[in-house]
Amino acid sequence: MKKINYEKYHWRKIKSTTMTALSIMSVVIAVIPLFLIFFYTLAQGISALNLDFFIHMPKPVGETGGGMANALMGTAILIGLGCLFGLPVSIFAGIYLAEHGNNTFGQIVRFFTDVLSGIPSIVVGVVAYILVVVPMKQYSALAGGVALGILMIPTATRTTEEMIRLVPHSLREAALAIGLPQWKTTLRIILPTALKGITTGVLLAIARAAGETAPLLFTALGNRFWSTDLGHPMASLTVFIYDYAKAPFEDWNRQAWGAAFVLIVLIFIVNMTFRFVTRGRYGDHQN
Amino acid sequence: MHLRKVKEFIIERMIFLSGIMSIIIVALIFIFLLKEGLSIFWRVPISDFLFARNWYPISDPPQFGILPLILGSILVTAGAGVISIPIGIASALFIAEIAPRKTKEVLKAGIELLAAIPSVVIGFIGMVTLGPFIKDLFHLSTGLTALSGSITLAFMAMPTIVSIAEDAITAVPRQYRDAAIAMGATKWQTTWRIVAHAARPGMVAAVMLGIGRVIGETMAVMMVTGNAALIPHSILQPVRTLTATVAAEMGETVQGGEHYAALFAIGIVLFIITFLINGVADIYLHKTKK
Repeated sequence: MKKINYEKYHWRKIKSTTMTALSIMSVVIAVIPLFLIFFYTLAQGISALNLDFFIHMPKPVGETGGGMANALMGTAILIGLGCLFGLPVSIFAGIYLAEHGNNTFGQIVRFFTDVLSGIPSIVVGVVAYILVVVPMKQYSALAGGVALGILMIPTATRTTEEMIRLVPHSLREAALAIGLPQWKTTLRIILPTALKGITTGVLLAIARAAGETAPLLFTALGNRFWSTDLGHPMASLTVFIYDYAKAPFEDWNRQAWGAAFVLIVLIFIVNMTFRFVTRGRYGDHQN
Repeated sequence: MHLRKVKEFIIERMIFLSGIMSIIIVALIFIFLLKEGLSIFWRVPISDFLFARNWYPISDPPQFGILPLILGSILVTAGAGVISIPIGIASALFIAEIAPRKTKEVLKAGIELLAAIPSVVIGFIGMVTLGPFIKDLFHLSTGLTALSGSITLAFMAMPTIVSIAEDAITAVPRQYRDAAIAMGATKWQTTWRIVAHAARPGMVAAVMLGIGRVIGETMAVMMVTGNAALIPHSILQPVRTLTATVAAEMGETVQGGEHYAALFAIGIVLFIITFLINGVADIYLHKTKK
């Protein structure tokens, strides 16, 4: 029998421990920014966070105080428009992929959905610009909504597909067995069963859209005044943050931090809800 | 009965049409970019557009060479890759192979949250914290450099890399690990030589998608890199990327003009780059699933 080389074994052990330690360090480095961002934004923005900040309008340049009521409202409207343009298509597309997508054509559709999610949001903004801003000869909330709608499609489509695939096959077969046509089975049985998952998935797509800035820069543009007119420029939280972050006034920077904190908290809540609702189910499906 | 058939037909068509919508939208995006952008190539030959060294779109006569912008994008992306790929892959290995179940769930949740933070917020933080830090560290006149951009974007690429690589690693069959351990391999040898090897296509896809996110990123890059459209000679100089150029100049151009067309042509370049990256990543992802 060959003698075991203890020295070599020892060396291998050391290497294993070192590499494990290094990978732990990597995780720490990767997660640090998360806490940094959260607490730094909170620390900087906390003094801006009061009731006035939520219900007041921006003050003219040079005056301190004021709020971002119009930006909150604007983001809500832009997201509403985005949902209007993006969600029906996404949900139907998700249904299509889950029910008819187990073939080459389904693969092609999935490929293009992935490609769409990889197209830079600025390019989508440029296309919304040609589609809406150029014909209307004006920056408008409508253009911003179109851009956000397109950006929502990949996430919403893929989560809808995942959630519909989770519906047990027996349910589908039972519906078809009692003579329900395919489309009715889908709309009346499958969709309601998967609704909870789809809703949270859609919220995830919405949260992502809420954080988009680049495609709004030359579509919805931004607005310092109260406006609910879809045909005119509209304020949004993200553009508000960008404008106020760049500004050379300390009070504006402070307000930008405040708005950033509000946005992050909103997005965190949506993400945690998604994780909570889909916990277990989603993971099991993956494996 | 007849009405029911008609209704069925309409709904089935609607579902199909929505199904192919992403193909239609991707095609439309490309067509619109071509329609508005190709006219620049009548005036500036395509090789000059890509490789001329000066981007002076509003001087007289204007010069439309996007080489400095391409180099800016490459420099920032390469820097971000150097930082985020090793850290991202090591983190994915730790989360998938070493971390206990509870830790794993918390870490996954945390990293996915990091992915959800809007780029404008990350850019703002980079601008305020990293900028001055880099400036003092290297005694520069401005801290808004390619390096600041790389570090900021590394943290945006990391969540993508970690989460997709982790999925690929977790998908490696258990027996591989058991066999390696039984043969006397250490934990690390098993992880690195066996598991990481088996998960390689998925990890390649993870890296490519992470890089894709960095190239397409606009806001953070615009706020952190200093936006000087010059050919960079070092990572400590301000640079300007393709995306930042479109974002910064689109609002100020005359519709239908040369500058306008040039910006759309940049859009074409971005579209092609991201299409290729995502396409190849998709192919690699399917390799793992088999």
